[in-house]
Amino acid sequence: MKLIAFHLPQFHQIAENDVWWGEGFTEWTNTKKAVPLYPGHLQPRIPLENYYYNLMDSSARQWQAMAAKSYGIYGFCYYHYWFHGKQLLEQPVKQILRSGEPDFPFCLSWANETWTRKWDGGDRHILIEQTYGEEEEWSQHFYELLDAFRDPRYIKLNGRPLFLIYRPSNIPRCQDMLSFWNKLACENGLEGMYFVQTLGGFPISNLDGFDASVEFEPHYTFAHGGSDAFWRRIKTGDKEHLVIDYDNTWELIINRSHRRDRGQPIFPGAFVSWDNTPRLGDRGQSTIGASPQKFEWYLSRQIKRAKTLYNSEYLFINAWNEWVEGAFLEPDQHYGFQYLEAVKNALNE
Amino acid sequence: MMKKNQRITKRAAPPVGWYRISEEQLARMMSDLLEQAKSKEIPVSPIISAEKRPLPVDYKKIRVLLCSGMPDEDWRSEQIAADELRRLVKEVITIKARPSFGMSLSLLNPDLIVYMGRPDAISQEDLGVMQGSSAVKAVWLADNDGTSEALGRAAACFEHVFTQHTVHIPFYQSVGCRRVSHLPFSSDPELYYPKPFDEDYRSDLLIIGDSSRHLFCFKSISKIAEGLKIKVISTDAPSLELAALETFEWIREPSPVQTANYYNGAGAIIHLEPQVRQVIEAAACGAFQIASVHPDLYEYMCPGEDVVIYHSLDELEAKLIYYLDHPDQRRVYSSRALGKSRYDYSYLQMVSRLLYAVFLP
Repeated sequence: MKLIAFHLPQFHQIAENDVWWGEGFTEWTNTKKAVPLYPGHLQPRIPLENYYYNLMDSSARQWQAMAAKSYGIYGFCYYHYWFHGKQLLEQPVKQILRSGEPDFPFCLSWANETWTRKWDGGDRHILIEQTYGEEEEWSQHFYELLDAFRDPRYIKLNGRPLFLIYRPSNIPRCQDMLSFWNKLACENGLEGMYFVQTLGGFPISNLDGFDASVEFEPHYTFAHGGSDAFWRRIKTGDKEHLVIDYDNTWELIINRSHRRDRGQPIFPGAFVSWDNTPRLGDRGQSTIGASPQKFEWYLSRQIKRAKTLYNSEYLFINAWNEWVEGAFLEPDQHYGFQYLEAVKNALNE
Repeated sequence: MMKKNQRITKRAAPPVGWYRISEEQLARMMSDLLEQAKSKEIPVSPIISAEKRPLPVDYKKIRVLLCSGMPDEDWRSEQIAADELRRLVKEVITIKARPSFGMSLSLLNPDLIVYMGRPDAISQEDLGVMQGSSAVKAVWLADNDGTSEALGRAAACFEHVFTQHTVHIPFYQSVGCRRVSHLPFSSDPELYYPKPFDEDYRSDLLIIGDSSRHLFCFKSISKIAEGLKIKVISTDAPSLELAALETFEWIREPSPVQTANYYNGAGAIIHLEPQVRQVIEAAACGAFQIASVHPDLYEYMCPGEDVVIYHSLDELEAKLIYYLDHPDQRRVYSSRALGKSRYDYSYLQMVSRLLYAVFLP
């Protein structure tokens, strides 16, 4: 089973974030300022040995790949940001391509959402707007990524580079764009493209042109799980805060029917935990009941389902390093390497 | 009186005459009986007509709120209990018993609240919300490690109390708990089941119990089982005397997965201080077990059928010698135990018992 972990590259300083959020802003900024909201709320999360790495540092990228490989992670899926010819947070991947290091499989997920002050992909307080253009821009976009697609480390299915799109329904001429890219891929020595649409926490349309879908957890279950049994409100001082029951959420995931629509392959998903209170405070949501032992138990069952029900070679984990969303496998001071050990044990079961 | 050597011969019994009586005749007979009973001052239970008999509870109309205060290492118990309850009732909603979970109680409005764990951790505010609820309230205690005054006081807030040990029942009754029953947690079927095992887990004898309290037992077993592979699961370290024997391989605090492997790999298991849940878990692995006599074993298990009991060291020695020499008899016991772990003391039977006790008229 090939486990691919989503990887957020926002762990280095960029000029845009300096302007929008303050000098030196990275994901570590919010990670550090998190506070516990209720007894037992595990915040702030502190990287093991205070390793607040900088992704522009090649040793940090090497360490990530080495740690991931040691515990059975097959590859990373880096979030890719493209806004009408402008990229953000692209430098770590560019350096990986230039240097040839680390030797670790990867693919890209186009996180095609407008950036706002609310971090919700909506259209209020816009920082940079997501637009899609037409063929000319699609071509520019494709050629910007061609080196990555041609890289021997890039994850391919049947010779076709795996490319995820987060919000395909937002693309006005999505099918045309996918066909266009497929044509360009073939013209440039590739077997075509393997497009994967993300099933997440937003309305999902039936779109042609995709080869597979990926269940992005826990959001897919939040929005499409058919139950709100996992939501609770608890008091945090004089306010109320929304919490998620870890077990209820996972039970919905592992008991879901594997059939969706039109027989399109689905890559099942897994989530480590969820807690975006570092970013949103008590307006965010946190999880009750998460632990590495439970994660191992649930992941092992999801791996089994991936093999036997989904007939999938891949399973996507949210995430390798989403510290500000409580979805990370990287070691921290509280659990050490337990979540990574859980991955390894789940694979071995 | 029979004479010596008198033979008993069976004579054909006269045919039984079945009589049909009319309803009037039946009513007259009942009326006569009542009159006779009245004159002799014999108390007679009122005849309850069919219309007035209490209706059996339709569990499938009941909504259950399962609040879990279980420790992290026992998180699966709440899941399995909830799952089995779902087979029996209309709906089961599970919530974690974290601070201010009382807010959820008032929103969900269940018919039955089942708290699993140790309710002494519940805040006064949440306890107040729970007590104010019109739902029937039951607590399934995780009191394997013992009781406390605080636990007793918290348990008394529930109408029905279920404890892991029969010996705790008098204590809970003394602090005001009205209905107290013994209801142990059962085995996790995902962990404890028959399966192949690695050689590392194989043993001829697996002893479970602390050596410091059972030194003579260990010495005796080491003589009887000389040459056999004996493993010991113990919470304490062996004394120098026992460690010097080199007869035993000591295992400290195995994980649940390892424990299941040890159960599967054991030719026979000896429980020096049986915990009924451990015995049930080992039964679910299809293990042959000998256990020291304990009242907890008699309510759900069948000593003599699915587990061998001993009352003294001499009896343990005798039975150990016998059963080590009779593997097929061990197999009969272990097979019965395996079957009963599925049909008599699984979580389904436990939650059935809980519902029955709670809704008993």
